[in-house]
Amino acid sequence: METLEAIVAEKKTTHDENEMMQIYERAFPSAAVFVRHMGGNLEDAKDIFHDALVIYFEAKWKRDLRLNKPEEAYILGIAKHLWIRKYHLKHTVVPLSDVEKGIAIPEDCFSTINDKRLLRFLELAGRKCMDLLRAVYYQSLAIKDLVNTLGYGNEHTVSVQKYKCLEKVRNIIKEKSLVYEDFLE
Amino acid sequence: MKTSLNDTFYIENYLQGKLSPGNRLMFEARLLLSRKLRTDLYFQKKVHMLVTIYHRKKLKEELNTMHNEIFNDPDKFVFQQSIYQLFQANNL
Repeated sequence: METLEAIVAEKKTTHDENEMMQIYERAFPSAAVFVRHMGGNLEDAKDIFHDALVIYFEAKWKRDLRLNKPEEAYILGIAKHLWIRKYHLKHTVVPLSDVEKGIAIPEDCFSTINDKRLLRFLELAGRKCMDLLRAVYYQSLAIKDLVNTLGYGNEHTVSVQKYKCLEKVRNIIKEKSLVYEDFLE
Repeated sequence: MKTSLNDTFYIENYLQGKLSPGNRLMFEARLLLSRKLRTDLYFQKKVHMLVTIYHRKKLKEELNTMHNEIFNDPDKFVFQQSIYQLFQANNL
């Protein structure tokens, strides 16, 4: 049976990929100029730009953005905020335009060591469930898409599987969190 | 649905703001009375957070692939050079 990742990859259209590539080529140069100005190298530029794109696509997906400037301007603004937060800089060191000052980035954009540790464990113990939950929450895969592609009998079965996955992942996190607490005390 | 799956369903719909006002009040009353339910709510919020982190990680992997495609595409030589020249040592 095909993996969920392969199914999602298939559902991405050439149009989606072309659009993403165009955004990448339009927006990366200004982010690269900014990072060079701040003393970073190409790898730093790539890293912060990718983080900025992730935040940008999330905000776009949640319709949290009111786009009245070019996309590249928002993505650069997000990159600047991420750079400030990552290196604990002040806004005077990284001047921001009025548009850039108005950009808000999530508090949890950089994950903690504990979260990364938990995620590594979940990727081993609950990978299929994580892929299903990601597909439902973030990849706009409707329950009916999953019925057709994963071979479940009907939408109710997929819904039940979603809740079973939520429960399974929740119980794994609960168990692992209690174990870590033992070590921290 | 089993009771535990039922709770998972209600927690999920509570977190997503999908419960009717009446059901929301009832659920919040149950939360006050049940430590297990409060704990499950706490950890189910953590599930959402970890799925978000997982999604971001997978998206970054896809972006990395895209970056390598762009920077290895002979048709994009001019673009590649414009970026490499920015970071050449004598430009720093």
